[in-house]
Amino acid sequence: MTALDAQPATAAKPSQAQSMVRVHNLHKTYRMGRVRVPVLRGVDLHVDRGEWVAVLGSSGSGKSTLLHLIGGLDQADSADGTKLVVQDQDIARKSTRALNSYRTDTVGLIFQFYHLLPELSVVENVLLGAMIRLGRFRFWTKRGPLRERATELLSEFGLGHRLKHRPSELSGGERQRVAIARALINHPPLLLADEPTGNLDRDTGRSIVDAIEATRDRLQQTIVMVTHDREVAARADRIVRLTDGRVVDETPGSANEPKPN
Amino acid sequence: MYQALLTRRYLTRKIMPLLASLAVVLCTAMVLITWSVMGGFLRMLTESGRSLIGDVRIVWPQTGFAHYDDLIDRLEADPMIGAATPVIDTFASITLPDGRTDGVQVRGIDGPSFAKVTTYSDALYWKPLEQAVPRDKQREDPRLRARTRDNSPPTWEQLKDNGLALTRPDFATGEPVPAVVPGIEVTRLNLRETWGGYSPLKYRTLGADGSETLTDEFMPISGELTVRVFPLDSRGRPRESVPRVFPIANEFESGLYDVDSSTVLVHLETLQRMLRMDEAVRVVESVPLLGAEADPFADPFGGAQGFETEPARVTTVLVRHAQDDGDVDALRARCEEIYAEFAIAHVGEVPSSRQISIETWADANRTLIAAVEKETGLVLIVFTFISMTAVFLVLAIFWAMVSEKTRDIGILRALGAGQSGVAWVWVRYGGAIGIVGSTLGGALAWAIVSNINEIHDWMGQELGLYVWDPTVYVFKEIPREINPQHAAIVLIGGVASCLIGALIPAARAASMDPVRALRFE
Repeated sequence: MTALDAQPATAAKPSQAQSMVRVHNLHKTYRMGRVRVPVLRGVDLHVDRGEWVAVLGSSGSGKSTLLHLIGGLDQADSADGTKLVVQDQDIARKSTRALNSYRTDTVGLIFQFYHLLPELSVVENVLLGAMIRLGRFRFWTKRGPLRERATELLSEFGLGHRLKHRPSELSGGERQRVAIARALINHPPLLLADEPTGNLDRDTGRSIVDAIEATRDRLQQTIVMVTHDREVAARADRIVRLTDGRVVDETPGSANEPKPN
Repeated sequence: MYQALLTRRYLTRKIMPLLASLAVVLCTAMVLITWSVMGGFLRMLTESGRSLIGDVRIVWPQTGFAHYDDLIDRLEADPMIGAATPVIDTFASITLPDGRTDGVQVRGIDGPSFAKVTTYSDALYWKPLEQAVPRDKQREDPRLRARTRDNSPPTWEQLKDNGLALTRPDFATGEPVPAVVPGIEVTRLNLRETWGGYSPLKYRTLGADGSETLTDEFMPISGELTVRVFPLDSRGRPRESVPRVFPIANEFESGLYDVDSSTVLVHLETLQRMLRMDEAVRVVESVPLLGAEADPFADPFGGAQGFETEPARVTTVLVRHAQDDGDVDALRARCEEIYAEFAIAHVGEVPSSRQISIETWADANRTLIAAVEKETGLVLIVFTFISMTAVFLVLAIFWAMVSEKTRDIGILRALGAGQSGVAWVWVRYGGAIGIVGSTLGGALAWAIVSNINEIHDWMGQELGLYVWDPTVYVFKEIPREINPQHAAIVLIGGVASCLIGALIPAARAASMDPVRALRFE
């Protein structure tokens, strides 16, 4: 059993519904000075447990905003019939404190620009999520196994020899692998990736998507990946096209196709 | 957990916290050094003020009070009291060896008992000295020489004995005659050297023919003073002034310039005789009636006449506690009780216990002490305000750091860190800078205060910068006093300042919108 096979923090119970994410009539408007800029204009989205959905759209289509709302980083506007349910939890009605717990327990976030803390080493960056989730005392009592898990995760991503390096000493692809390991440290059932290959060259980007796919295959995690790269999106189970803040199209991805032996 | 990790990393991997810590170091050290020097100054001043007073003094000024021997016996019989001594304090004019005349306070003392109550023995200036004073690196102090002058007697030891007895051998007979011990600054014929001690000065005298003569005279060997006192009778009526030429037995240094420049110690019994405060049988004249005074033909001696034995009087009795660090307030209370019994025993002859003034050494010097205490407080307030810049400095640096670390804050929030958790990172960070800065500042202050005189000497020699000029100040060294309580207050204040400075940036960090923070560039 590898680190990737470990039990998720919020494992799905057999009796629960197959739905992981349910979004209905989601609106979000930003205020730019005196101007109100509507970004999401009633998005409807449904993601099943264990499904990999790619959200494809041009810049400004609202795909990152959608991801932030699902990730509990931002609050949706109030509108009639708006629903944002993740793993049967109504995210829109959660308190700030509950949203913090939601982000540590349920969601793993991967960003385009990696967002690693430059002062921390590779392994410390991975452990950061566990430190936040468990708090001082619980982390201290579990620090040994957690460090082992972080080391295993990084080793599986080919970074076992880089544990004490700083992010500035890593390549872009290596940084993104560290970010993925960090997103996985708390066994989240839902992985949200915002343009994970957007800052990488084609080959490196492909290897990153391979890593995400391998993770998903092992853990049966649900993945919502935002991208504008059609090739990357094509590898998902389903592709959702977002235009001007609305879902305009949904097509199956290549992941549904039988894999060559 | 992550707060501790980030605090440690931010503290060790950034230049800005080092600058903030440095500011705290300097502010902490500045306040501590100021407090130590001013505290030392206050302590030296109060100790100097206490040196010739004892712990408690019982005073009935000008006319004095009788039966003081009985009072001293009663006082010394009490176990709380170590010793008591009679003193007369009065005003006089003196004529100095170079012809100048000055007004001074004359104090009649009984040398041996005065030395038991006060630090008179230590205050005598011309005495044997085995070790040079700290700043006298070249051993220029004349007291370090084997002989006082020209390899001839007297020795330094003899000068000290002369000072204690307030006598000096007569040139002709060799017999001890009553002498005076002026403060070291009274004659102005001693030069205050840069190393903090005195050297005798030559002086000019004007001859009868108008010619000037340069005299090289060492006061304790051949110097003389003319003391003119203005006696009062027991009812406080003035009598004719009484002049007398005294040889100078020695000089004293109390450490208080006011005392050293305007006090002359005289043998008690001699002063009593000059002031007619000694025991004597005197003719007592009644006060003429107003009517008789108005009548120009009335007999001026027409009032009642008689003889009366007047007991000797002194103006003051000084008292020392039996223990060196005894409670002087308790001693004063005990002296009041003893004086009350004494006043009842001599009712009508001595001031009543309600009239007499009984005060501690601190009460006697309260004007001086209060002034220095206020000065210390004022300087501390000023420096504390200056040190408050540390608060704003930390605030400004943290504000900049929070801006710089906006994306880190967004990452922490995205990973589930709460607002209070993020704020706590910066508060901890401020506290850490405060602890590091205050500790190093305390260490720096301790190092400087411990070696302040050496540093000052070095600055004087290398840079020509003498902040504490020994020729101006009475103290030989820059006073200092490292008070652990004061140090604790300043160190805690330093940490608190940093915490206060970190609060606003911490609140700003906590209130950041995670999405905007992540998008920050």
